[in-house]
Amino acid sequence: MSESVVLQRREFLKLLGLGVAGAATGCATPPADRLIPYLVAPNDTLPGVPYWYASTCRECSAGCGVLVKQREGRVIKLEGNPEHPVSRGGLCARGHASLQGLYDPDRLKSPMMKDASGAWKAVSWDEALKLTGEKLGVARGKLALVTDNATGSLHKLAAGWAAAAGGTHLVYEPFAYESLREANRRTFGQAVVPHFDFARARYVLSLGADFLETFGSPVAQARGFAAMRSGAADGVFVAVGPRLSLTGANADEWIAIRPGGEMALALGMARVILTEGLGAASGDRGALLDLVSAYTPETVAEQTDVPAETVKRLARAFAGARPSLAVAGGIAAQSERSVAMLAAVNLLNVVAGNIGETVRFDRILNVDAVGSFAEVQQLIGTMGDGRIDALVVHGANPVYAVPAWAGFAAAMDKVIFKVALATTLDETAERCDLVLPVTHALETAGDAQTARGVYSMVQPGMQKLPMFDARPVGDALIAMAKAGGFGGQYPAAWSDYLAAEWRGLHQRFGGGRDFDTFWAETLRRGGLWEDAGALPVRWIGAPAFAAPELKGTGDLALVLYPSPALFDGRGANKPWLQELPDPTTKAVWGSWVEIHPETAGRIGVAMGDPVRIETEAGSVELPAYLYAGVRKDTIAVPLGQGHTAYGRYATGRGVNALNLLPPAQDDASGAVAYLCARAKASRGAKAMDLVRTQPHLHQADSEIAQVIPVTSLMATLTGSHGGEAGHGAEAAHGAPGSMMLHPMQSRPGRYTEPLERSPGAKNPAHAVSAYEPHEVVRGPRQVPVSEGSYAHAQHRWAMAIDLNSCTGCSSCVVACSAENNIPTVGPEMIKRGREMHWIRIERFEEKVGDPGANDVRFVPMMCQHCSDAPCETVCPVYATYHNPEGLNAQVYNRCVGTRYCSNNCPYKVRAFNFFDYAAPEKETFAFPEPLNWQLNPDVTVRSKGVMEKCTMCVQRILEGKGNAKDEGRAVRDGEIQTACQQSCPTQAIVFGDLLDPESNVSKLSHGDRRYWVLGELNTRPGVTYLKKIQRESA
Amino acid sequence: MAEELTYEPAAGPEDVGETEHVPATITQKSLNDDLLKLIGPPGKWWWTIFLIDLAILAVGGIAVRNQIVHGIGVAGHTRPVMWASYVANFVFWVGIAHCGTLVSAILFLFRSHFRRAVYRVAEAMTVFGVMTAGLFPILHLGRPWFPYWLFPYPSQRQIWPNFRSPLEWDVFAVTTYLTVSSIFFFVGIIPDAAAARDRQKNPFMRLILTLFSFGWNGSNTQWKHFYGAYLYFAALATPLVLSVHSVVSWDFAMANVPGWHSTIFAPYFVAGAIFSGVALVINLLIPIRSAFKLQHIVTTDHIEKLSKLVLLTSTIVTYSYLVEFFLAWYGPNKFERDLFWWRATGHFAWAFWIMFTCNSIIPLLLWFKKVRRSMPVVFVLMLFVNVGMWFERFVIIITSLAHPFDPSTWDINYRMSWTEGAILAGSFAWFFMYFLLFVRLLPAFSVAEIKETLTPPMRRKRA
Amino acid sequence: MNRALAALLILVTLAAATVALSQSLNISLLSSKGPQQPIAFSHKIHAGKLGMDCLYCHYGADKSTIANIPPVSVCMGCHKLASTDRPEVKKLIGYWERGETPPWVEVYRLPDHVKFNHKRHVKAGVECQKCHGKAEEMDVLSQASSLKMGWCLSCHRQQLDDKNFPATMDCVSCHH
Repeated sequence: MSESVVLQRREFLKLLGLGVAGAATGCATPPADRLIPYLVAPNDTLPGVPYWYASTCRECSAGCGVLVKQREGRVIKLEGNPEHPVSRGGLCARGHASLQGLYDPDRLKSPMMKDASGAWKAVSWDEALKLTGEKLGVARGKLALVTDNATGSLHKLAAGWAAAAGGTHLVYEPFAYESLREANRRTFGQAVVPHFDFARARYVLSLGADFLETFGSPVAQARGFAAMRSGAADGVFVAVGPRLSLTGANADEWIAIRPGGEMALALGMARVILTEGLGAASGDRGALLDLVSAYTPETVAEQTDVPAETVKRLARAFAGARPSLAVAGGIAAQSERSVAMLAAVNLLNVVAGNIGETVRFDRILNVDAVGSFAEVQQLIGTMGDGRIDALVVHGANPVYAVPAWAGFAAAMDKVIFKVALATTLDETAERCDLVLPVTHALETAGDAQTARGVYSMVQPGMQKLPMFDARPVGDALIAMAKAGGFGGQYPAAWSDYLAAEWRGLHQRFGGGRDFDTFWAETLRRGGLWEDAGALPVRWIGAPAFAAPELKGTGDLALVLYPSPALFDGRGANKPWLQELPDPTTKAVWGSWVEIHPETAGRIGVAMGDPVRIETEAGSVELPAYLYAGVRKDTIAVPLGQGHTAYGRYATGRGVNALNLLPPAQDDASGAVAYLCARAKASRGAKAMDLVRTQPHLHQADSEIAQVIPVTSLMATLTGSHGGEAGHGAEAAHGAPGSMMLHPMQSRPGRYTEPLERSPGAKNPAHAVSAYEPHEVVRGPRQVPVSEGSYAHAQHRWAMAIDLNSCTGCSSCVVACSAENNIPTVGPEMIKRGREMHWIRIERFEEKVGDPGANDVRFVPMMCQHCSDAPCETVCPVYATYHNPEGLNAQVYNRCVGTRYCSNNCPYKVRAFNFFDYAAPEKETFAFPEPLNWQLNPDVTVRSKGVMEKCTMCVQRILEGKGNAKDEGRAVRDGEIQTACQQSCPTQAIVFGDLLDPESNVSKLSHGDRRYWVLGELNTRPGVTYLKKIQRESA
Repeated sequence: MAEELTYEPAAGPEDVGETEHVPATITQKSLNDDLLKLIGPPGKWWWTIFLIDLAILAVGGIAVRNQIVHGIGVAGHTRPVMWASYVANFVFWVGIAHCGTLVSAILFLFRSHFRRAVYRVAEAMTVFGVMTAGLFPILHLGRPWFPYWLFPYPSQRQIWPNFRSPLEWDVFAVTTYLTVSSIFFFVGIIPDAAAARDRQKNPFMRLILTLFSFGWNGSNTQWKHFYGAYLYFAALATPLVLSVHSVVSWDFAMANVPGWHSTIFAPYFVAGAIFSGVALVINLLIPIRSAFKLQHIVTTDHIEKLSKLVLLTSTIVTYSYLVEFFLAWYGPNKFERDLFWWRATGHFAWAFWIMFTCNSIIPLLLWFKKVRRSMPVVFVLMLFVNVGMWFERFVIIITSLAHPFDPSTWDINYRMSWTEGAILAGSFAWFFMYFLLFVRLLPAFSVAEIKETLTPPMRRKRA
Repeated sequence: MNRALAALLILVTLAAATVALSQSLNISLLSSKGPQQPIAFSHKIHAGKLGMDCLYCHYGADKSTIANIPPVSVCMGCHKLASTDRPEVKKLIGYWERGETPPWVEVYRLPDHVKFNHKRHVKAGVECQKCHGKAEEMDVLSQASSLKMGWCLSCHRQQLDDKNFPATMDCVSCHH
């Protein structure tokens, strides 16, 4: 076996050679290549055939289900697992990017030990384990193990390991929902993070919870949110908070509340509901009323800057729509009084009768084991006064993520012997005496229980990478235990331990099958899930209500929030995430401070100028991002940057804003208070550049992002085409597509909308397709293509993009990069407008910050595959041309690089290879070993001087058509999915065949909300957009 | 041959009538001496200038090499500004290349005799201008090693270029223009080359002049054919003057980019081309005539006439500017309106105003006769015109691209890189290298045609 | 002088013509002789004399875009017993016992930037020989066809209107 492994590695390298060399070396023919076959072919694997493995994403606690695509033994792509109960098919940007964690060029190649001089030197595993054994043996009883929220068997192993060593086990997550759990414990008696059912809600009030980005289970919540918004009738969303996040940008109304005012607002609303008797009739109404009696709308108004009228209005709307949902989290839930605030929001949900409806306690997020910050401090304490002799860290990076004031680093240095089980040399690993390289989740067997009733499989998509001498963390722990003399109870290998764990589940879920079948089937499905009945909850009272006070003297409240792309910083060494434009600021490769234009004017800084921010804890300099989406008395800084170690992409980039935090914790839960400081802002001396992909955020009168008022939409649904009211309402509640089933008979002659084709007209100016459907012949062609007629093509590939569902989360951007070998080019290039992404999320701020309605529009913009494409006629060499199936094709090796096509493209969706991003010998090389292992063999890696752009994943189209041919049938609708479509958590993107009148895309493209971007240019795009539904929140 | 001529020098005014363009002091003999003396071993001034020129050219060469090795990214292009200074230079040089054929061919057909003194210089400028312009379509390619893919040749791949693409039209327009204008140049130079050949001692120079004189011996038949051919090529070249720059303008007019997509472009570009071309002719003539003491041949009248041509074309160009803005304001296209407002007020407004001042305001001075007849002033004025015309191309190309339909791509601004600067300078060096050689190797003035303005010397009865 | 000039012109013209011609006529510069392989494996014996099916060893050809090089285990399937005395077979067994694989030399090199799908062609009933020549008659395998674009198209053009397996002239089918 091991030999065949050796040879298989060679096979990898060989194919790798072909893949990249072939693409990069252009015309030069290398000397005769050697073809290295398998010695023994692994069971039913064929070069050139992709294999899929169901697994679980380990990038955050949400734990979405993924399908891992493997080609020639290499994992090349992740996709959401439609079967998985958590994510149901979507995958976020961070999930996609875990590939770059696997292929991180800065991964540890072998165990390393610090010598006397503090320099690292490589050692063998045996030496390392021997040493560890001795040290741990001595340190028995004075030992601590820190891990991330592994859950499942690994957590069990870790906990048991620590216990056996007589030490402590701390599960560390920077954002651990401690306050939320504590608040639920005090109000409901259950210290858990509930499952928020957005799909069922008809009115959502978010108090700081960024549920589309980083809060809870973003993919699942985004999907639910889109379902709620798809109905025209209701689904209003109001965002409350001092800063307008990506989630807030999707709201119909933004309440720019005073930082820390959320609690008062919630209580005020509850009071209105109770006093006006709007809420669900609950027994102890009186008791509840006593709790909130102090919070009259007027008092609320003066505590929160929210007008009393607004409080009443919100309360009535909230109670009026049943079920509604108030969800609190994010920055609002990270103050010194966050438990009180969260309790208040629970109270609001109680009085509105949402508990068990939209606030559910069935499939709750599994963060039970995650330690509170109090435990972290306990550990710091014990380490500090030398009561810990050995520290073992895995997965967590506390040195970076624990705020400086807590002094983790200093305390850690007092520990005699420190081991890191890490993939890269991050801040924590760097402070250790010994680092043991562990395998990445994508090359390791394991499991995870990420939500109640979900037993999810972590399946290796490939053999572990040959160039890294790494071991599964389970194996490492077991080996350490055995070496340390407390591992007697463990089997030899982690795999056995895992199997043993699952034998237990086999007892429960086996259903008569023998273990191996059970195991195989579970692997195939990606895990097994049971219907988790809801935990019993009832209102048991609330803690004392009090609003937080901010520390310090400054005149600005400092808001720190986890970056949507980098989260708590663990994504910082992944170029895909660094180059992913932040959905709010469109900035890349750095950090910044969001500041209100007026405030900026006051301190005399313009966009991008350096700003000096001072709190009593410290000061930093950051480039200013002028944003009307923060209050005038507030500044906001993203977390996740400013690493001092961790790898070439992360180190020394941006600022770690945690250093601005003065000591502050929630008084009830002990959680770190991220919203606790006042700051002074002044013009700074020098800060990093603010690099943005979209400097201009107003769409002028280009009408690129269009909306349709809900009222007029309802009118079209119920009125003009004779459908009775019930019809409209029913449609309104259905899936995004359902309301499109009634195409309108006549429309005002707006050019920007594809019109119905008048019968007999030949290629009318506004036909949805360039081809005449009635001429379409399915099956073998009737008229020879050699006669040059496109009219008889069998497909017209097209897309429909629902702007009402798109939340701007940008996961499609990373998915596209992964599928299509798109290079990351770095800040210098981006600054010069040389972004390579094939799809970009355009952000247009119509109304931000002014009271009342909030209107931010996101438009995913990729090649529109126009039927009359301006780019095609101008290319002098036919490098870009129209293919018979309606694709606007780009032939890289024919392109000479005149760039005329890009000039003539009204959508500016073509990306040009200004440098050689594919040549390993150039400093511009974008795929340093082993990042190049991720490259998709089905897609050419483009070389210097050629134009490239969205192909609608033509390689997938060809594959899909091939499969259909093999089975002797026509291509099924939905069988071919583009990468962006597959990854979209809200299914905003639909791809299909316009010549199939039954296809989903055809229906959507003829629906009431359809329009073409810049349709007046008569490019007749293959991408039809569906207008965003504009709701009045009042 | 000159030796064999039995004509005697004319005695004086009673024989030679004072003609408009040639003072009486000029005789057949003096012409030969004055004009053909230019040919021959250059002095140290020439060498100094030539070496400086080569140095600049070398810098440009390094920049080109740099760009080919590392990629076009070393230039300042961005998305959306995918064309920039290179295409501007291309249009600029094609424009320069215009006036030569205009002066020589069109004015020839119109029998306006003042051209005789100046047309050779103009023609040379045309040929070298096209040779310079021709570099840029190749230099600006992402893969400059594949330009031949633009030519329709039968290949085993069984693919042809796209004849719908204006760039493809360029290929034909420019190559045709280069061919015809150089033939025209070669034909016109034959008699003078022969004359020079016959007085040339240096064998190397003789060889070159012999090649250019195509075995000319001045027989009547040769003169007959010569005039026939010359007239023919003049007629052939004339439409090209209009066609080639119209085609170049369609590179832009055929695109849908606001600020490009306009029917006015063809005449607008032709006028602009003549404008800048004539300006450069003047810039070349004034130094030459003072350097070689030819004020009596290239007279102030000549320069003044050319200046009037500049003034005329300047007004046409100005008119085009105004019409563009008027249409943008009057027309229904919101994108166009938006663009032109931005062009005059936005990030690149400085370039626009440089253009407008140099092309529309400064040339108004030419209304004054004093200005037209003062050589230093005219010289400086024409420099302004050329700067202005380069910026016209800069403005048309870059501002239009920088402000496209989709606002999400606005404000990503182009900044010219040193590579582009070096290549621009290099292109001038390349042009002047040829021109300097031309002045020294070939007759820079048409001896034969100027002689036509002299009354043929009378044969006298021997006593 | 004039003669020299004329001569020059003619030379230039001829040069240009030659280039154009060599481009247009699909001239392939293939060495008729195939490369030296680590083991002198003979397709003539296996595919010819023994009449083995191509897909027996290259079993990926009708299932995958890539027609695989057979794993050594496939060879050993027979050569555990078959003619183990032959020197070349001894070499094979040697590799097998050392747990190595023979570093076969690539014979058919597809030009860069083009993707060829074996499965589609095999399923469309294209004979292996059509591109790979009469392998069953070659002792030493050599490249039988240029694999240049014009060569592909010459066949695709004829197949355009085939009822069951219409070939495509769409660039992206191969260049993506």
